[in-house]
Amino acid sequence: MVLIEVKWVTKAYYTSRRKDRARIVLDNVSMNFHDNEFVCLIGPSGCGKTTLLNLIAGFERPTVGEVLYKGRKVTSPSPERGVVFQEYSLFPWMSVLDNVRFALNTMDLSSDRKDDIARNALAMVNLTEFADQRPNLLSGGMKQRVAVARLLAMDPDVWLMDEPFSSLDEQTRKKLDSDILNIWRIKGKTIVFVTHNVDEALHLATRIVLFSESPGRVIKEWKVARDMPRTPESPEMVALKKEITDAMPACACADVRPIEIME
Amino acid sequence: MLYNVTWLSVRPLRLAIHLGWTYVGEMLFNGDDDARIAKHLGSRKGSDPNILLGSDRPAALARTLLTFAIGILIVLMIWQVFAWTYNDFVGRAVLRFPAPIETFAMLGEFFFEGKTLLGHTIYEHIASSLGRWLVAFALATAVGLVLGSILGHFNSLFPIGIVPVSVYQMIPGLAWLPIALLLFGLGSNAAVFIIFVVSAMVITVNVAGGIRRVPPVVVRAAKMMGADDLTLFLKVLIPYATVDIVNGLRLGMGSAWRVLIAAEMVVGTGIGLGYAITMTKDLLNYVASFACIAIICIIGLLMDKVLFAEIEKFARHRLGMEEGY
Repeated sequence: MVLIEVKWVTKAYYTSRRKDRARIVLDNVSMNFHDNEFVCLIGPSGCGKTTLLNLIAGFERPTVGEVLYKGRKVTSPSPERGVVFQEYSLFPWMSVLDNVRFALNTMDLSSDRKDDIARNALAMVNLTEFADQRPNLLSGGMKQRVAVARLLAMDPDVWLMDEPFSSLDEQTRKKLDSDILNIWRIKGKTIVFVTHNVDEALHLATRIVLFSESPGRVIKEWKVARDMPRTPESPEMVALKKEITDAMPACACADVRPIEIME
Repeated sequence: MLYNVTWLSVRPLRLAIHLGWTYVGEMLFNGDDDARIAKHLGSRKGSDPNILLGSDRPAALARTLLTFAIGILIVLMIWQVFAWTYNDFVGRAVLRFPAPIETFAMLGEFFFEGKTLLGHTIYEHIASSLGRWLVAFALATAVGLVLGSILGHFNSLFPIGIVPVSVYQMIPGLAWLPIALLLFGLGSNAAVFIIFVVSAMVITVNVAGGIRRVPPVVVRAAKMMGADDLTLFLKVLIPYATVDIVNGLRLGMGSAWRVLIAAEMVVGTGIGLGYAITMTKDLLNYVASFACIAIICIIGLLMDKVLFAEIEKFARHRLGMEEGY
């Protein structure tokens, strides 16, 4: 079943204060996202991946074209489409538990019930003992786990994840990637995951979509079989990684003059 | 070279400067955190990297007080040197420049011997000024919070609303005098009005700015979780902006206190510290004027450095926004 339809979407922003110039970030992008898919959007920085995610979430509206969610036009954010942001987005004055409980603020549940759901979500990301702490005492990885717990409690149909672990160290990132994969397997939701890391995409995705450098267009996409062995050394993975790397656009910095070292 | 100046060669002073440089300077500005922690390294338990150091509060308090005392000492020194120079060398002066000692002696008489000034005790003058300040500041806080919240929250209203606020803010406190007199005539209410307009504008600007500075990602997170406009405002924007709001109140309080004294000097309130300053000046009782100025400084400092600094610290703590340590 098609859950999200992105139809002929172009997005441009002003690039000057005087509003006499604009720049196209997404150039006529059309794609569908299906039920229970794990889609990784990859591409060089500044290629509009995050913009596409913001459009799907409803934080911004397309300049031209439309985004449909379950056949209805997306006009504003909604708890049906949860987001894990690249930056830390917790409320610093609330305890970890209250941060997760906030995700239930629109739901008509008893206070005890909300508490149970929030504590369950925290248990799933191994943060039970930090429930009463403030976010400023948590490490970066733990903060992002709270952000994940928020979505676990909210239980949206679509998880939009914008390079959620890119600021974390390699080991923490890998651990959290595996956790997300497990959550996806258990919950069977649709996940759209933005990353610039091909290995991360290969580890997670059932479909990998490659964007061109700015202005962003879809260059190519690959389906990854669910039962494909996800170890980096397996021949299928090595072959697929080479295919993707070869298709990636040359670095945008190639036309920039090399750094000259002053004597 | 420096020591050629005669009064600097007085021995105790030289000693004090020497000590100040080596001991106080080191203690105040460099601290000795590593030495303090190193002393406790022996108490570590097994492989636990956490070390219990015991309270730093007495030492921290001593440092704060010492810093403050040095600052006050500098003020008193400048004042004393100025008074000496004026009284001894500016020969044509008929009036004496009150020195710190005379001023504090006068303060002692006001506070402990019940000496009256212009028919009122000093306590009555202080109470009257504080009362005016409290009424005006309370009104300004109410107006500033509401107006600032509205301007900060509604992006489309801000560019329009900030224009009148900036215009009013540009008018210096005492320039409101004609308006105050037209509205309230001479007397206390005119002073209250002037204090109110000045501090209300300061508070409005800061509250609006604080709400507008809430990071977009926090607002987006709240909206993504389904928060409606009211929830967003009350549960996210206001808490996030609290430190800025408290800071705005602090600035508003300061400008209210300063303009209060000025207003009392011109609208003829009949009682109050500012009124006392102009009247004693006219009666050539400069020592009393200086005593009143000293009281104003002390009260202002207490409100700013003690009361509001504590409130701000408390707010930061409650909001989990302490800077790292």
